[in-house]
Amino acid sequence: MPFSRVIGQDTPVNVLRRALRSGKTAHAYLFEGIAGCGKGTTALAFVEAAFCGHDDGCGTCPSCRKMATLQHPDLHPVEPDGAFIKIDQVRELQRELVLRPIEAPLKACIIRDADRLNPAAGNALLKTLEEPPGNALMILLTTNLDGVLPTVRSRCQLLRFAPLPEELIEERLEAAGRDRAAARLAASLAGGSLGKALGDEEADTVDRQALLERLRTLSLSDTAPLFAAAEEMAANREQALKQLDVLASLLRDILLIQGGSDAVVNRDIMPFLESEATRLSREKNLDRISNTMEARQALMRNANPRLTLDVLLMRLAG
Amino acid sequence: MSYLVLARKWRPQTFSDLTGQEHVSQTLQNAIDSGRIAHAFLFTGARGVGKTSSARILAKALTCEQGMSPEPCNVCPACTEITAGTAVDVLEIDGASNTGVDDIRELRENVKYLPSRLRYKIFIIDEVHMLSTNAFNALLKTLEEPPPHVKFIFATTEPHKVPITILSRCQRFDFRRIPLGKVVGRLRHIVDQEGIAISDASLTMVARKGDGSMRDSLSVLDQVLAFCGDQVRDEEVVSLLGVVDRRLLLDATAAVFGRDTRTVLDIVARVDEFGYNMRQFCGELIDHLRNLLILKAVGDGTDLLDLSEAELATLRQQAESVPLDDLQRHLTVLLRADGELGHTSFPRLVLEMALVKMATLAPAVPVDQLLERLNRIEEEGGGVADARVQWRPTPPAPAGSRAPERTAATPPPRTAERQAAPSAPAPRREEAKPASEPRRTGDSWADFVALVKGRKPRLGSMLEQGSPLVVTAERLEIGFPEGAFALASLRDSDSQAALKELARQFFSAEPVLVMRPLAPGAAEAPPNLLEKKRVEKEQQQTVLKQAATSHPAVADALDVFGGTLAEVEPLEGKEPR
Repeated sequence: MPFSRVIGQDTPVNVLRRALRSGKTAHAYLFEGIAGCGKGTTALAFVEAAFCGHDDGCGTCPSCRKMATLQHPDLHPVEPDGAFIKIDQVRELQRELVLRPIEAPLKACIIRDADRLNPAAGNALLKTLEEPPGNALMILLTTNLDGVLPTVRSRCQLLRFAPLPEELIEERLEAAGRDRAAARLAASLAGGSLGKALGDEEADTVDRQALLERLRTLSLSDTAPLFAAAEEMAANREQALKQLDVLASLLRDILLIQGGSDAVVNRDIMPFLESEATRLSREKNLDRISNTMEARQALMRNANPRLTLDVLLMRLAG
Repeated sequence: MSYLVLARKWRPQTFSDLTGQEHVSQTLQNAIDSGRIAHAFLFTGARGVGKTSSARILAKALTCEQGMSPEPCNVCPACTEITAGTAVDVLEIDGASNTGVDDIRELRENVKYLPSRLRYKIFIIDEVHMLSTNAFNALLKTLEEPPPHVKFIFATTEPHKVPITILSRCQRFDFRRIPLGKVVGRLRHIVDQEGIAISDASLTMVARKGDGSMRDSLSVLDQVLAFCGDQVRDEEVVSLLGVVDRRLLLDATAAVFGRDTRTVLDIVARVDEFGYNMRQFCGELIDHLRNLLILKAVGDGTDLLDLSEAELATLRQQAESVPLDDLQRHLTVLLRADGELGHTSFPRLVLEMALVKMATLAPAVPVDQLLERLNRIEEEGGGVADARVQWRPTPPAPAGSRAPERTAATPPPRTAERQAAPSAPAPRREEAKPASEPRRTGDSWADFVALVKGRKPRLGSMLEQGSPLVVTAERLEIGFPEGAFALASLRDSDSQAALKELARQFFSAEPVLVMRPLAPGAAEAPPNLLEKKRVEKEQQQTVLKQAATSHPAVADALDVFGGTLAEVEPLEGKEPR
């Protein structure tokens, strides 16, 4: 049963199953939700079920087995080539879709990161998306709905995937062999993304307490350690982004504590956060958060990491 | 998979089916009636308002075998072929996939030949804005004077991307967004035909989500039907469409106005729990605040608001407690957050920040009130200010060598603030600019350092730390503490050369420069300039303090308030107000 592989997305899965059962599947779907919440898995399951024809997909017939290994000749996945999905990829896809399906009753394509269709490619897709040749099934996945052309959005049936509840992620992590405490922490840090929770290996996580401790000791009067810290962080761009994410989550917790909410993510270092919350004023903390987010944005846009972090740390110290 | 989505199944096939574009269908029908048919049409408008459908209907109307008529018959082979997209003489071209000049050349080849069966050869180019510049230009001549058997119909959502030369050769029709009522009417027609039970309220929600586009509305309706089946209940529509509960909006604004950060954060958690999109919530909150703002600003803005009487009553109640200025500031914060939400990877954090910021916004005091208050203070407090003006100690003339020690200048307070606190002493002195030729005081070492500071501030400040052991025109001997940074850097050749040059100018001779370390604990070294300054300043402070405490007004003030005299500052050349 392919849909059993999908965790915690009951609403969209029910919509799709009902559509399959009643034979009312749309020709184009747009799945929207954060990264790692099960969009891809659901899309594959849906295609598998549509190919199989036995209700929700049997999981044992040759078609289902081919789908399980992503070997099916009638499945056409499209992914960004570099930063964007380019028009040639779309033309290639259109050529494929014009042909008759080889084994399955219809052709299917899954376009990942549909927000990264470049303008030419997105427009080229419009006619196909509106009236695909030979009843093709097109599924677009995106994490950022606003990045998708409105003309594309209007041609698809939109399905929203909510972030997964923490308990579910925790369960999954424990089933994957993490120990209980680590699973709990990773689940609360993942923010509803199972992919992120599974991807974060122990060694990969940032030492949060050390990070905050370091920030606390930064001072404008003694800039040498500040610049040293910036240099160290800037050495690895990916790691720096991760550290900024962690920093944002820590600062957010402080904000929550100051606001009197108890939905704190980093529960394990609660006393430390509380002491920070009393030490920092709220305005200052808000400033810090926006500084951190600005720096993250700058890094994403390929700014010089060293300078960005220099500035960030100086702002945080000041 | 034989199922067609509603938007395709219910694509209008006649002009009368076309919803909300009467101005277009009327014009086209009149043109057909009177036989004045242009050879090129351009249909523009937002997504899903009927451009492509109109193009097809027009094609059918022009080629229908029943004769050219304002409405196609939809039964003759010509009409059915066009509907199915198989007609030989109606070419529907995807302008976004065939963008190149070669595609247009091919089309021009094709234009020459007479239609094989129908009355006209019709080229429908959809998404025409994606054609390349070359392609557009290659089309110009053909478009201006095509053979009589050819008609062009272009459709695009972005007419501004189409060159002006193309625009001027076409008859242009702008398709409007479809009004909410008409969308609902059409949806009602469709659901009745499909045998679906759904309430008007739900249909309105669906249509609102469609935002003036028929295809969007039908896509949403499809989504609703896929979720609910043939019996649609209102609650299901609400939960599926993620329409934000009005209750939640009211709670959020109430918490913001009540400055309750805890509730505000809880509400964000609830929004997240319900699975609403943060951006959507933010948008609805902006709408809600806008409604409040309108109610507040216009008083009776009922005609500006698209709301029921009950909703208006609650809004009015809420609007009462908040000043207009505060509403505007809240909106500013939210609008900024909305912009950020578009490209952030932490939507929840952005919303939380915005709401906390709003909840902790200091209440605004109107400027006129502030001014009035100031005037009052000025009138009442006039006496105090006068007393200060009358009595002014004449400070001892500051020694020229005394460099100003307050450098961190705060920006000058605005008049309003100054007026509000008339008893505050005139603060801070001007930051002295390093003069190139400072006044000489007689102390040759101090003068020399002042000169160096004017020319080379870095060297000057290092010299300040040194003790002048010997200062004559022949020999300059300066001592520094053992291992001082200043000693090392003054000893390097660049600094030495610069110092020698300056010393030559100052002493009109060439003194020998010696920098030497002082033995720790050696008492014989004269104090360096920094120490000297400190001592001088302390002395001056004691003198000033004595003068101040002896003044009767100050003594009385100390007595009344039970305070102590913390600091006295001379008013150096500053006119008291």
